[in-house]
Amino acid sequence: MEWIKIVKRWLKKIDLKMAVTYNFWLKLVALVIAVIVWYYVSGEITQGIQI
Amino acid sequence: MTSLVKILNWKSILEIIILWMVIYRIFLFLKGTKAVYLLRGIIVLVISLLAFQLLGLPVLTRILTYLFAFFLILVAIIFQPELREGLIRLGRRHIFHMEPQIEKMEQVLREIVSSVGVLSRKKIGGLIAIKREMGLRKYTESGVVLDADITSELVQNIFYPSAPLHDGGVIIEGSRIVAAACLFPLSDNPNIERTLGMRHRAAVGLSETADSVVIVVSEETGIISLAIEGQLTRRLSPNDLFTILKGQLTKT
Repeated sequence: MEWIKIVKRWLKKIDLKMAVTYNFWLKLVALVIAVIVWYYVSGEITQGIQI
Repeated sequence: MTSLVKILNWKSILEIIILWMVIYRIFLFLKGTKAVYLLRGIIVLVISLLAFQLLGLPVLTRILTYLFAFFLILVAIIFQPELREGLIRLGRRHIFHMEPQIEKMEQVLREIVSSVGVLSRKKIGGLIAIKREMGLRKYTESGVVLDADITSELVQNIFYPSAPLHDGGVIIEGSRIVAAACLFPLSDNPNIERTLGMRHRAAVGLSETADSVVIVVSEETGIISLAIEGQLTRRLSPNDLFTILKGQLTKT
């Protein structure tokens, strides 16, 4: 299977440590904001359905 | 917190991940530009809004909501060029393109190193910043926008002493020379040799404030130096420079 080879080759290229540590604080702040936004909007939607 | 855990399922996790990626991309786009101050302002407004809601202060919440709507319209007007550029970039970006174009990067590096070699031999001063992840728009705006393909001859021409763009630095993004005659921030690192001039200080300064790789050619000695993360490596041969640049710029 050609696509499995491509995926394997792509996975080998990923440097997990670098992916996490590079711009770590920016990634963390973005995650926190994403969770807050999602929680806020999902709360709004749920309230809307209840009404 | 428990209610958050209760409503989490694979769909909500997927939604959060997508939101995360979009917000991170926006942050990267804004990083290194004056819009970052605006982003801080928005974050302060959002935090205040959430705090007022939690404290149950309806009048302040309502006033801030109105202010927020007004603020968003203001942002769209003030940052219209940045928003337009962002949308154009979004359209150009190959979302699922993962493999770095190593061959193309090598070709670009060969052109850069070749021009640096000539500048060094002829003792012509040069300052070249290569952008990595962090945006350099603040510095691009201080120079003359070129948006040209990189060729050794063009780089030499820019730094030719009587050329109008020879003062300041060149900024390279991908395979394009984005701007020339750009002003870079000067480093106030006391460990930099006193004999080194403003060009070297500017190279170190930019590498401290942004994640760029900056090449300097000394006007007096023709010595090639490279500044990475505030560290200046001196007396490099063009071959050394190519090897280091390749290592720095092709890693993910």
